[in-house]
Amino acid sequence: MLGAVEAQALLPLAARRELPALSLLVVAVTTLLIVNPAFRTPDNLAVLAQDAGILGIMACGQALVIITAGIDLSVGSMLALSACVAGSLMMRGMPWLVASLCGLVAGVVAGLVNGSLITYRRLPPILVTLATLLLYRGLTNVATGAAPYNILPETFKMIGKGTAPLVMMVAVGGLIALMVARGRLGRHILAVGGSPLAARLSGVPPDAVLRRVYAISGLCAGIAGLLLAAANGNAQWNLADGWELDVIAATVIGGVRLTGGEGSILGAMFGAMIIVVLRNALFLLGVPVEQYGLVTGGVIVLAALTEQWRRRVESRQ
Amino acid sequence: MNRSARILTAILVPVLVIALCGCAPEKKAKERRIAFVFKVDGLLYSEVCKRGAMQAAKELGVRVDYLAPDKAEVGKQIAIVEQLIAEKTDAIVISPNDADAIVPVIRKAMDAGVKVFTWDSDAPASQRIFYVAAADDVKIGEDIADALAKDIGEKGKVQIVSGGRGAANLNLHVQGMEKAFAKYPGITLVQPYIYNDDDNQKARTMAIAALQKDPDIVGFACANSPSAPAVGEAITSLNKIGAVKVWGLALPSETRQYLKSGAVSGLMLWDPAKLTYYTAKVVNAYLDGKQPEDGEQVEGIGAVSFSNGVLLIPGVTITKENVDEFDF
Repeated sequence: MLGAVEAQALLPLAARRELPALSLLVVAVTTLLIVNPAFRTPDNLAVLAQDAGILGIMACGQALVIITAGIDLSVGSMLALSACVAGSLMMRGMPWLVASLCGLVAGVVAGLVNGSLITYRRLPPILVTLATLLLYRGLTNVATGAAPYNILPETFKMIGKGTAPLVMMVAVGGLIALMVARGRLGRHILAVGGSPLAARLSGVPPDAVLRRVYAISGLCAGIAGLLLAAANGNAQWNLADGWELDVIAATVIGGVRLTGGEGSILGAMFGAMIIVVLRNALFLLGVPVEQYGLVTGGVIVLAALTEQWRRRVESRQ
Repeated sequence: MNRSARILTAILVPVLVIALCGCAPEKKAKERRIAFVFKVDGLLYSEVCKRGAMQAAKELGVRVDYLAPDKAEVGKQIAIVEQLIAEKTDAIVISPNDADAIVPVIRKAMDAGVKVFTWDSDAPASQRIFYVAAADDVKIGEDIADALAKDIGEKGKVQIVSGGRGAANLNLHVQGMEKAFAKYPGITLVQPYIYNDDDNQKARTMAIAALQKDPDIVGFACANSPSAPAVGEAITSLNKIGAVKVWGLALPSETRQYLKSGAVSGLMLWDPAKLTYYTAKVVNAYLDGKQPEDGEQVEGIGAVSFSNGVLLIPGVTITKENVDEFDF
């Protein structure tokens, strides 16, 4: 239950950082609901919920990483790895719940490897996760022989249908947001992102925090992978290829500061919804695909400018 | 074959040849040898090709070899061809990794009396005798469009689906589709076309969105391989099997269940095993002094076309009836 306690914990944050993203989302969705009949069909709304849920879960993990002043480029590859581990085990007859759990473990392990490489000798996150983006994708390709895992149990496929991914995003995002607002790890994450040195001096172990954060990003990618495989009815090595840019864009649009120390999980979820809604709207309005980048890129610039302006106002107060 | 084995072969083969020439009684007739040189080893596609060549070897009673570099590099293919020239192979059939870089070694082989052919990929600037391929990209697009047009009774709205906006071969498929659909006055093409970047999820969700935008779409013509199964899944989730028809170009293994359920009507493809089987036969016939003929009906393959040194075999139509015969 996401009750009053959490609402209270999130409200002061929402009143500031997430406001631009939320306003854009509300305006866009309301306008589209009114002017575009195709937008408001139940089937289209279900697809939006599916897409936004899957992207949003990855954005939650990414937001945590970026708050620590890191970045995780390997999320799309970890997603495919988890989905293929789960899918291949299901095709071999393992009960879907157990197979899904194994898929999530694969995601966590992949994330931990990222975290360990980053904390070991302080390798830059962008370098490590660029390498594992290629590594995990290549590993999944070689290990599966590019084969599709597309005979999946019907009960498993239900977790990707309709609004289930969106509900899952609210649950995952809610837990992570609560952890950031109230938990010890959350405080440590903000501390490490703000200043690793100050964090260490005040007794926060930055390496342990970072490893956990990348593991959580791997877990989020894993959850998204299961939902995506279920939604597509197919787990394959090339799932979510190139999605890392959408995920990072979602967190930036949601007001997460790329240089770390500040950000909001709620904002990252709004950012994911904005990307999905905009892309859907452009498609429904018949805009040629070549022009999509202009709009998404424009929104990112707008988000960056708004965030800068918001900070200036904040520091003046 | 690793390097030391290759070096050893390079030394031993000439030694043995000299030894044999010196003492062995004259051979009655040298066994004919046709060598296929693949792009790279280890792909499912090459394995299927090998199967076809093997079958031809058995039927024809000639020796057929398959050689492939461990990486898809033209340099490694050139080394293989040099070796085959030294071994005085009767014919080399190659799928070059680089159409231009392979030209000199093909000339060298032809000068040495080794007949060279290309299949699967061409080297048009070379002296190769002819090139054998499956129906070209434009024709595949036309075939998909014609099949879909027939399936929807030659009328209604059709959505063309492709992958990357700039992919040359996909654009040729789309070109073929446009050309074929233009023959049917009852069919209108929905604009703009869908470009889903070969992403399964985008292929599926964009198909669903397309049906919200234009609920009277009756058919999807899919130019890239992830699209047919993904659109099939979309049609299934919308309970529109039968009301909306899907034709495309995709791997049977990825589409089998949708063909079985009727969500995808059919696929246009070529069978790499048949392509290689036919290539081995037609090359063998050439060595016997028989030129390929344009329009010849080949059993199990259909009418082949032959012009300007390019020999094309028609694609195959894969539907729920015959999908289980394909294991790739």
